[in-house]
Amino acid sequence: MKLNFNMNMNIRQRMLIIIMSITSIVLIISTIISFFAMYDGKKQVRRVGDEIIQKSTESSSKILSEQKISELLHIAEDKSEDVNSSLLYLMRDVDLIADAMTNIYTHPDKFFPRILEDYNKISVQYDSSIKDQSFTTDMGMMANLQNMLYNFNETNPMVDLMVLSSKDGVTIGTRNKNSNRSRSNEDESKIYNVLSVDWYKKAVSERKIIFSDVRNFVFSGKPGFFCAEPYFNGNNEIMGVAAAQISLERINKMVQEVELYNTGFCFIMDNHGRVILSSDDDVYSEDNPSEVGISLKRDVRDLENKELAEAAEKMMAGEKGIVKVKIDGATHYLAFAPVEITGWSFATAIEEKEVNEPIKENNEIIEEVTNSNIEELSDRLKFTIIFTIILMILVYIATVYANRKLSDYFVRPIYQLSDDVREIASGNFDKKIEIHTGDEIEHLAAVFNAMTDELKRYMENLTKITAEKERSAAELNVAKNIQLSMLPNNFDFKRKDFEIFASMEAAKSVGGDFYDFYLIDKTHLVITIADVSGKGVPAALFMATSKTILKNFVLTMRNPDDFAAVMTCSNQQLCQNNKAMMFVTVFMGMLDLRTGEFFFVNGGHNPPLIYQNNQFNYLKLNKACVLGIKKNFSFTQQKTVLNDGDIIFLYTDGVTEAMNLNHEQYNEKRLQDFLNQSSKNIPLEELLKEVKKDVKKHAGEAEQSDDITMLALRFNKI
Amino acid sequence: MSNSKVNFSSETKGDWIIWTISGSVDMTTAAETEKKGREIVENNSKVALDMSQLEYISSAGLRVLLILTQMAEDEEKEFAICGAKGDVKDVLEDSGMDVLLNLNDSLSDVVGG
Repeated sequence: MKLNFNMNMNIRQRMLIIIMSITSIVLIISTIISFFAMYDGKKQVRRVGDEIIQKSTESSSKILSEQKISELLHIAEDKSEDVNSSLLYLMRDVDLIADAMTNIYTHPDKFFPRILEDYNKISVQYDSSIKDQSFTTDMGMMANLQNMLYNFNETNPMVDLMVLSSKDGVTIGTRNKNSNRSRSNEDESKIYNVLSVDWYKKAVSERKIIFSDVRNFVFSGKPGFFCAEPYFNGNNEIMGVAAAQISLERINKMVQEVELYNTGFCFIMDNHGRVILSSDDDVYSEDNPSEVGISLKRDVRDLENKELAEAAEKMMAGEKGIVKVKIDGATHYLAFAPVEITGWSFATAIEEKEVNEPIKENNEIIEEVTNSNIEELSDRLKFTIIFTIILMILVYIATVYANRKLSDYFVRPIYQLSDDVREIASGNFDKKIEIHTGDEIEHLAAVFNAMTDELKRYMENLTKITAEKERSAAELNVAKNIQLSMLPNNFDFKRKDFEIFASMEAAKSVGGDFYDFYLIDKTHLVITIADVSGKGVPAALFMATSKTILKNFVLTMRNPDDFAAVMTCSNQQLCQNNKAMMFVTVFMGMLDLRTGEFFFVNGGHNPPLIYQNNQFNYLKLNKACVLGIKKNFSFTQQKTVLNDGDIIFLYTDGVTEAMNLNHEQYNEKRLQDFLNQSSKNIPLEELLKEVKKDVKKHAGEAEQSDDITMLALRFNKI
Repeated sequence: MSNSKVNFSSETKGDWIIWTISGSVDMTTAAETEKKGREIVENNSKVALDMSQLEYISSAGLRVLLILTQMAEDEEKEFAICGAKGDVKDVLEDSGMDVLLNLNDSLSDVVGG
């Protein structure tokens, strides 16, 4: 039962193990593949991301830097334009004043000399070579424009002061608005040798509006320049020059106001290659260590820095453009545009590293964005991986469950089969196994059913046979009981003159052997051994009859010579109504315990052995017939004499004809030899046991087929 | 087992049916032998039992021979036992069967030729 249970478990476990193994392998492989794919995907994303970063950085950085550089140029252009416009505006004012003076001298009849009304507004200076007449005339004519000069000065923020100078050396001018000098200062120089001044000489020689070079002013010492234009009389003779003084600080703010980048700065270079204004410098600085610092003494084109010198050359040529140059050791982008009126150039500069800075920034932004995207992608991949793992686990659990169900499905009929078989085994042969799975198990069930039918038939047969067997066994038992009850088993006669012992071992199928011994008087002992043919109850009954008849006749005997007659009479009795042809072989002897005379009659029995003269020999018997067949047979008796210690050994053919598996009989010769070599003085019981042991030894495994009966008698002569 | 088993064969020679028993007739084979013998004696009037191939006969076998002989006598048929030798012959003589049975030394003594 337990084995059966284990076997079921085994099938289920085996199925479980096999399916689980396959599922596990598939799951592990697919997990590995998906993980590998996801890992590879992640790597791919990383790689693509890096590529995007690189590519977009490259292109966007290029755009950004280009943008920045072009912006630098735009600023330079715009600012140069601004400066140009401002100077144009200034030129217009100067031109208007010059035109006005020309108009006065062209029409001297229309204008009268006037006096200067307010010395707080207008100052007068004169050349050291002045003549008094000219002083009065010129000043009188110039005084016509005193208010115009003042107003123009007031309204144009670029102008320090407006000046009119006559060809005779008289100069009137507005007072410097921001001058620290007090007009009451008596020390104020009245001498101004205008005729030898740069702007006057340039305007006269060129006979048109001019800009003077930048220099430090005579009175204030500030750096600046003049815009000057000659005026004429009707004969186109130069009568004087109108001029405006512009200090650089007036236009400095146009440089300072420029909004550039961190490292950016701008400067204005004049037509002599000198840096006159710079967003990095104070207007008044001199000997600035920077290569593009303000210096009225230095021409940038003379610098050792060839790149910068070349750039300055271009700027002087009135070109517009961008160059990459080293300034003060750092690489800069330098953009420049001309201020056309003066021939100056407005320049903006920025360090290359700042141009590249947005590139870096840009890189960082792009990288950040890309990385955050990758991060997100990684997160999603992580989620996918976790999801995959959970899914795998669920699939695994589902497989286990399904497998359990499946194995149950397969194993259940086996359980049913085993239950049904158990029921059949417990004796219910009418039980039919009902399994309809359509597979091998159903086939097995059908075979079991067939077997059960067979078993049932067999059991019925067996019952019948067993009943029969029991009957015959009972019969045999009866026979055996009859046989055994007939045999005397008290061997102790409490006498010293003889010793007797007998034994009978019945075969399974009970023969009809018997032995007998009794004293008929104090001196005569009768011994008998017989073998009834056939077996079972009839043989046993025949034996009983034979034994009784024999003993009865012996007891009626009066003379030892009648011993043969006993046998003859017994035969006649046994022959009556013996249709079944039962017969019995008998050997009967009578010992006279006084003399040792041994009378014996044989009725077809095996010849006994007799121990005489220290030797066992077979008794020589008269020819005789078995009892029970031939009614008129006359038996004869024989006689021998025993001496002290002589032995008579009677036996049935169960001894001599005992067979071994090779169908060899024990035989008379072996019996005789065995008795001869055994000790003759031992108790007879021992002797019989020894013989029986030897017979058994010969028979070995072979079944005993006939009764083994022996009787031994020792005569002890007193 | 085959050694202890008995085998029968029969052939007709002239008036006689020759019944040959080989092997051994003991308590276990006696019933079988008796049945076969009764059948043969019933159907034939002259039966010669050839015992030359018989190796062993027990008292149960002797009884079968007595029964068949008695049966043949009752039906006035002939039942001749021939060719017994060795142990078989000794048993027959020791038990005085030569007095009771129709024993012959050889088959040819009975059926001739």
